[in-house]
Amino acid sequence: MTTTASEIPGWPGFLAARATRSVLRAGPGLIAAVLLLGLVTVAALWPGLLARYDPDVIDLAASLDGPNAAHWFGTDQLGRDVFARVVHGARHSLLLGISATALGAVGGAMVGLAAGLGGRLLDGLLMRVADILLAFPELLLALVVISVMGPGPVNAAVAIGVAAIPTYARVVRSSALVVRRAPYLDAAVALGQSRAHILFRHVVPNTLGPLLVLATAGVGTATIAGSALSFLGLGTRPPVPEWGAMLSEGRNFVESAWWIVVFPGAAIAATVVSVTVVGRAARLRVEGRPR
Amino acid sequence: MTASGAAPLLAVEDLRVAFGRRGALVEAVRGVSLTVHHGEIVALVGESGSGKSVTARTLLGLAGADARVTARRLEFDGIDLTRQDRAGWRRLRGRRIGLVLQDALSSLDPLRRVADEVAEAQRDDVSRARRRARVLELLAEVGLPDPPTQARQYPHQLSGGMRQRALIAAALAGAPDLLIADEPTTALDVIVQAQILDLLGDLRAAGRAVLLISHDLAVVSRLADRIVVMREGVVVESAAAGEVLGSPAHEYTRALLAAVPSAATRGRRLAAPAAPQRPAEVPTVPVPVAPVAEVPVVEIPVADVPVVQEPVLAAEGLAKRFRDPHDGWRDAVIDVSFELRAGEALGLVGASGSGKTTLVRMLLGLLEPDTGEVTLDGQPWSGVAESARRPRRGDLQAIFQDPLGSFDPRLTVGALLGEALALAGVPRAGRRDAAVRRADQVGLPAALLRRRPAELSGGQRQRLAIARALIRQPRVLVCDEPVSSLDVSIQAQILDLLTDLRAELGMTLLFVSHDLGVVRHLCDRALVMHAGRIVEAGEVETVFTAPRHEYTRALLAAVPVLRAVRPGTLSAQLPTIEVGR
Repeated sequence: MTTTASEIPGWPGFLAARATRSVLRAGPGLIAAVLLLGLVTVAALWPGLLARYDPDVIDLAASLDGPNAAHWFGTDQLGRDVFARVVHGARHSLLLGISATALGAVGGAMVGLAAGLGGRLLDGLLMRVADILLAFPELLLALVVISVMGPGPVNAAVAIGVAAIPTYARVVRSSALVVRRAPYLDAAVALGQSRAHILFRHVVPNTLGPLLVLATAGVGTATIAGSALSFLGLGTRPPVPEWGAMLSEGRNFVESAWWIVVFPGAAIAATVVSVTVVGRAARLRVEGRPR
Repeated sequence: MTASGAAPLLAVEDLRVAFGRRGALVEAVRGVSLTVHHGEIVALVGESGSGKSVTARTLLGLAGADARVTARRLEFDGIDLTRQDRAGWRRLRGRRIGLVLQDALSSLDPLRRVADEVAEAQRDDVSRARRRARVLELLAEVGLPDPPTQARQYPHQLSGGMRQRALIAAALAGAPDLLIADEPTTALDVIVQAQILDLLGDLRAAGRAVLLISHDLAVVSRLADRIVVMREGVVVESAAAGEVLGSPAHEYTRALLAAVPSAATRGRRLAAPAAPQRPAEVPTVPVPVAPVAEVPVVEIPVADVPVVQEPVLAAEGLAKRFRDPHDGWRDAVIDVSFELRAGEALGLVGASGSGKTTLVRMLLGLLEPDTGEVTLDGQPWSGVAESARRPRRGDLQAIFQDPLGSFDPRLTVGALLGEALALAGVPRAGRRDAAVRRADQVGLPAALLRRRPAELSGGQRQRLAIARALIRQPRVLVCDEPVSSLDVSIQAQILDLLTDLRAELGMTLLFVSHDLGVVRHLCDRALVMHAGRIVEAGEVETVFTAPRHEYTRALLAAVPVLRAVRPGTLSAQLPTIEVGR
């Protein structure tokens, strides 16, 4: 039969649903994304398996060498192996993205549940605050938090996570508003279930489903934000091989030694795209395939 | 009426429509043949999955991009429909063949006024002023009460019946020779349905041809000249309406006719025993339909349940009003009092919007009445805290209209039953076995326990709802439109199941339905609800044979009844009354 946009379930609407479907059809894309994420995960957990060189060893004699058989991604201005630094950087970049997302999702879930299930007054208050915060770009909010807390990798993660809370809170609230009117809650009351059972067994799990999926894709955004902060020198700092920090270090050599910035940049882009692709596929699984 | 000698307007021979890719090709329509002549209403009848809608869409070239359509002959007014390109279809759709769909609300663009919707389908070669006048003519033709007003309105401002009329007006705007109406009255209550059916009858009188698609034999019986019965993509019977209804040749038609609940079916089973299962997937190679196993319509006397004259659930002066965004307050339920007596089956009848569901929610303690009181076994049930109701909830259980919506979508069938078993005090270790037994009691195979409700069929979902409601061994079971979303043969099975369980467990039943036949089949007493009030109450036979209130009379007159001989216009028989939305 014909499928119209309005029949497709899901929150970000028609365009995202269409993108989701096209991703699904492009099966090889999803497979490539999963493989790439697997590789990034290996790099984050056991970088030694992939990179022969120590990312921090300086060899000024071999500085600014282009990609070659010994140094696949070339060397930077201090003669460090770029490939090793990209591989070792996965841990720092991903850790930043994942911890920031976890913080944002947990905070957003709490605020969103309170707003969606609490009274009208609490809802109004929390959502007006969220409206104000949403008026600013997330990165700007993160910068405000950093300016209060000071720079550093942990603070960067906290800043990005806090800045993401309003977005997650909105999603959780709207899903809580739908769930609290769901007929199965009436059915549960009529069956004689207790309030606590209904809340924790039916309301909370059904509310948080969309959040989990959104958070999966959110890791990509948070990773970019983390790299951006590191690029500005507010996150991880040299000589730690974080992708954003590497971009920052290499930007002075971009005309003479492109490989110093291109490979970390490609790592960021590929990781974020893969996370997004996998996140969308996950949403499709959760929400069911559109008929 | 039928110009038997003349060439048919629409001629379909051996139409086949298959979906899917090679290897997994599913034939939804397998060799359908039918003809429609000028000034004739042909009804295409079948249950969900019978292929009737696919057939209709194919006639408009709307079967879908992945559909493979083949036919020995597929001709409309001499035009070969198998050879139409996009431009060809555009010339046909709307102008030669019009389509009216079931769901008028989603078929009409919510952001466009009715006049624009109707004007769009007109031929382009007419002046704007002429087109505008034609819109008003069309709206008047389909019986809208005040065409200039309705032309300016948006779909959401119209009632369901008015929307359906507007949709028909839009379909007629291009002056098509053939109107295909796909379940045009399914979403409407009986009185509005009668008016829409009369409208279709008027179109025939004006010489137009109508292909009416419906799952409801009774609806079709009052209107159609010829009836084509479909099942699993195959036409099982095709003949003049009187023949199909009066002396059905095929077993399936007979089973369908027997499954329609009415006064005549009281005390007997509706479903043929061991109804043949529909195959999950039709093989690529068309298999000749095996003749359906001989399923004689057996009359099994259903045990009479003794009715003790003692109220279990009672409502006294219940009222509820809701804030309406447009006109302040809307009274949903006004001063409703009645008693549900132990052991009886009480039917609550009313059109959509009559306040049935609000009343049910108050009776179930899901909604507090503004005034009045509900008592269960003489003890207050409304006006007390939920914690006070909870220990007594086991006595009063419910099954809801939308079986899918009443289950947590994340939980499996087993987990859903397990939850209720836990409430009933069954220890964790025994729950699996108990769930299997409970499922078996309502005819659900144990293999389904691992599935989620979304993976069940409509009938299975309602069986699950019944199983879950029965776990706490309620004395009262409230059923809110439990069969209205089901096919007639599935409906028959569920009604039989409820009848059996009632006889077995001695339950008291409050049965809410807009379908008078169902209530008459199942219930001992009936309440008729209209515009928030109970306008009539009494023994089912009295209410249905000697109705006192004019609304009940109108309701009964509008009910489509299976009949071999087509009666005259129905609206003419209706007393003129104000029918609330």
